Amino acid sequence: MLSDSDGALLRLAGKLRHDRRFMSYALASFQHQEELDIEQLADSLRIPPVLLLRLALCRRPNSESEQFAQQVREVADYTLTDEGQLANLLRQVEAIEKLRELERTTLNSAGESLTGLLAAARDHAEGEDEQSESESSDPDAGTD
Amino acid sequence: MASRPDLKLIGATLHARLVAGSSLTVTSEIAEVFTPILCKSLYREFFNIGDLNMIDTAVTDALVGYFAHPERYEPTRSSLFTYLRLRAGSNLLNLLSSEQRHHAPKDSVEVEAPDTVYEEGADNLEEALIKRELNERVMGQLRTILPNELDQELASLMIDGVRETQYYAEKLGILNLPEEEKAQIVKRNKDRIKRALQRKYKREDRGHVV
Repeated sequence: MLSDSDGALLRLAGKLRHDRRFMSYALASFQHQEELDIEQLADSLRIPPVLLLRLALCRRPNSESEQFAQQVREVADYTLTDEGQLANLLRQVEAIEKLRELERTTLNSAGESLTGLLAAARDHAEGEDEQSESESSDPDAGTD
Repeated sequence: MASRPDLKLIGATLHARLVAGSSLTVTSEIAEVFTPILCKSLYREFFNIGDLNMIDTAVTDALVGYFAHPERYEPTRSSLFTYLRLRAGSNLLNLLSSEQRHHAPKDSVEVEAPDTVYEEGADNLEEALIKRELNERVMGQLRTILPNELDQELASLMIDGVRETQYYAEKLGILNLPEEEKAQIVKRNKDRIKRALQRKYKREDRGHVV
């Protein structure tokens, strides 16, 4: 069980959910991706709450680093978590993050293309309007 | 009489590890060491505050700020505790001022800047700082899961953040083995302890964490 004095630590873990560099962020993302409640998250890692809290307050291993395995081991040992499970959780979170990033980039560039296309169409239409206006206001136009 | 832990030294060591970026567990260690004593120190000074959550907020904001910009702390000017205590105190005063603005003049609270000099060792705060004590809380829960004394000692080293193989090898009585073999045996034992925890951990003991 968590003790009363863990209240501030819980609050801290809650704030660190918004910081990608922390395990709290990775755990919250995993929870969201898998639609787990906190008990199910604890179930999947099979550690007591006091160690889950400790895990949330650690920095997040970087899967692109050459030291990834070593980093996972350090955190896993400190929180008595299975390093294989922890590595899988981190890889899953990162893979989905990258997919979302890709999705966002694709949507942005599609949006930019569409905006560009619309602007070009507008310029073209305005050009045609100006031309027809000048033709209609100049009685000598085209009579030479 | 047991020797008192050196708060300044603990803070300096943890800060150096945070700045070096070599440890991923150091933020957790800093939070576990400093959060309770910072809260306690503020509770003591601002005992007339109605909403104690404000103290938790002030302390956690100080830690979040420190984690984001550890370079702003200058170890030559003060201890880490002093630095965090001042930041947390300042956060709290800001929270109280904004609260006062909301509720004034109905039930205003007198807020004065703290004039305390935060000396190391004040009010025996260090007593609460022994990392062993913090980990004892975790170990208390693990003892029922790991009845074997050797396993308890190994688990204790793990949650203390000890990474050097030699300490585990010493406990296991395998100091005389070749390095590679020692490392393998130590890893096997660490994994065994984690598996034991996973097997025996009961779901009903869990609470809400993040």
